[in-house]
Amino acid sequence: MVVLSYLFYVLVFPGLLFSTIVGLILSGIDRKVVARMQKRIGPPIIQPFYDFFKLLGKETIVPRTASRKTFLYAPVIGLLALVTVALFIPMFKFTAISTVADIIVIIYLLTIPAVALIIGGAASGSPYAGVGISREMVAIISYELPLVIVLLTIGKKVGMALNNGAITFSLSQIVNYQAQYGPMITKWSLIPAAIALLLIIPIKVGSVPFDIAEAETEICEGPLVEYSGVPLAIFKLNHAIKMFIMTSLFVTLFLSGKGTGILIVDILLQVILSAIVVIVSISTLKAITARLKVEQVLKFFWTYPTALALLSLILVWMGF
Amino acid sequence: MSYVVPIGPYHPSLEEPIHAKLYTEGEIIKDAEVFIGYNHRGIEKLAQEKNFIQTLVLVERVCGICSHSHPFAYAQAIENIANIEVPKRGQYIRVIMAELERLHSHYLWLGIAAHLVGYDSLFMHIWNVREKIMDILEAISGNRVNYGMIIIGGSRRDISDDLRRDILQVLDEFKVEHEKIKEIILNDKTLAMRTKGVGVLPKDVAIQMGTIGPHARASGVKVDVRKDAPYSSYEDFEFDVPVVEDGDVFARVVIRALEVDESIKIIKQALENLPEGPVNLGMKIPKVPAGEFTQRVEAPRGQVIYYVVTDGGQTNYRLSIHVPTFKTAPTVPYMLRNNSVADAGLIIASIDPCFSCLDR
Repeated sequence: MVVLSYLFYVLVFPGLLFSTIVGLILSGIDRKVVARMQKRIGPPIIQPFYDFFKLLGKETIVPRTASRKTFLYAPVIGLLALVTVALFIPMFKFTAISTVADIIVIIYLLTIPAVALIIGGAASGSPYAGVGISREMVAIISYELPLVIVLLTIGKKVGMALNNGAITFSLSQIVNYQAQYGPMITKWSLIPAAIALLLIIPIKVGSVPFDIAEAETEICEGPLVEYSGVPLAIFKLNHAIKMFIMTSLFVTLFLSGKGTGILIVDILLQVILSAIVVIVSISTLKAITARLKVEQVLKFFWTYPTALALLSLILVWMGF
Repeated sequence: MSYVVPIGPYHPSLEEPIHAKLYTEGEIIKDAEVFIGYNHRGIEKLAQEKNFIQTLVLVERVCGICSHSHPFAYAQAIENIANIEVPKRGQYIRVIMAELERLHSHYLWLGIAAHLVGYDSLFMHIWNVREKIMDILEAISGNRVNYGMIIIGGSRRDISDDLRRDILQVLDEFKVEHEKIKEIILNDKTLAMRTKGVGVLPKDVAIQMGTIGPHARASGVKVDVRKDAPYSSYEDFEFDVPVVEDGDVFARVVIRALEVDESIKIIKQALENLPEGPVNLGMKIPKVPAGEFTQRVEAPRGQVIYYVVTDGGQTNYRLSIHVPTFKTAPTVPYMLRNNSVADAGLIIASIDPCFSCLDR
């Protein structure tokens, strides 16, 4: 039975199927909202599904210069890592897998899709991909520091209330704290950290102004330039799922709480809140900015989001 | 790590085929080469077998964007050889079309520039506003591109008083929108971060390379055929030639936004003071004696030069077309050096290239 339930977790909910559907719907919402902001009508919400299934039916071409196995397996590795992360993120009271150190697992697993992109791009042997992967590395260097500080800040805040001051790395404990004391966003000392995380979400999912690695008009989608067919579909799916996971993580960290107690409603609430976070942090930013350059991205993330996250950390440490 | 990054012949930041090889070290471009000739259609040769009316139709198809400037220059060259005096009203309508073309061309480019730096909202907004100009062009000529407004001896169509009022009204609406867009362009921070100090062409190099049009004016060189050698009654209108000194991509964006203001001024003056009289001298094929003439016209992208030789027969003896991209493209390798690959597409696009013109 345990095996069956884990299988259900991995394949259906909250794993592959659920995160695929929600991720694609969220990216559909993102496209629609951006279109409305730009005075366009925009595609239907389910357009990403059409795109995904269309790509599945296309021919898969592997370049002669590519290292075949690495080229084809890279997107799958990224997908597996993302589905695993989905298991760890609690939705209000619901948790599929819970350990004492979820956050550390998540930090590591969330890096894997980016690494998969780098590996796949490097395996394709294209100069555009070469430029793209060097940019992706810069992106990772840019956002990892503020992301870790934000997570530490929350861990400290929760730890001080529930854990005698020791930093907690358990997401379910963070949810418990919010169930007792109200959502994290209502604590003023954590608002800078929330803003920092809202700025990290777009670079993590690779959207404008931080889509340096895949800048379409500059380096033709960088690492993805040689991909086609099924592997490309999986990479696009990775993007969509990453969008859901990052926003869902934000909801769990900052907007969570007791919930309603009914599982379906809680999950729906989580998805709706994620959609709002998508609109606030991804769509709006996409609509009002131009793409930054590589060095500008690095400079930006090591100043503003890092400073905001550090500010929160210091405030929390001082007991606010 | 050093790469050779190919840009084109097919690349998302290019509308037309051109091939550029970038020799890069990491993200920095050390050297660049540009290869042209993917769009050659043999128009100059074809023109030698067509009569003067057919050639108008032909040269209109040299370029999709400045499709008024080409027959404009050609018609004036023929009129000068044949000593045909164009009626004043015809000249004014030609000017109105030329300036409307400049508006839509500059707006097209501004939109593309916004798209290239990833600012798609501005791109959509600019192209939305551009539709107003396209509607005017369609109302006057019946076409959105390739207007067919030029005929030897005048303009093919007249502008009625009703239409004139409508155009002035739409132009006022356009001006309001343009002020908003200009404010965004001048003040937006991310746009400035991407374009300031990128692809710099200093004034002395610009003069040395003989670049022209908005590209030269963005580098502080004040050249404009409309002022330097007025044609088709341009001397009647009051307008300035804006010049920006910086010579980077941002300056090229700004210069186009400023020139739109001047074009609106010219169109308004022309519409308000439209002289009475005929617009052309009839539709028949003109008799052209032997002769040669060189005509310069300020197209949206710079000056278009038409050199026409006739031998008294029904066809052109020789037609030579010099387009603005011919003068601006050689500056590209210079501008690319020591910039990052991220900016390559933007820098190539910043000359507002027209490779169909270039290859003819």
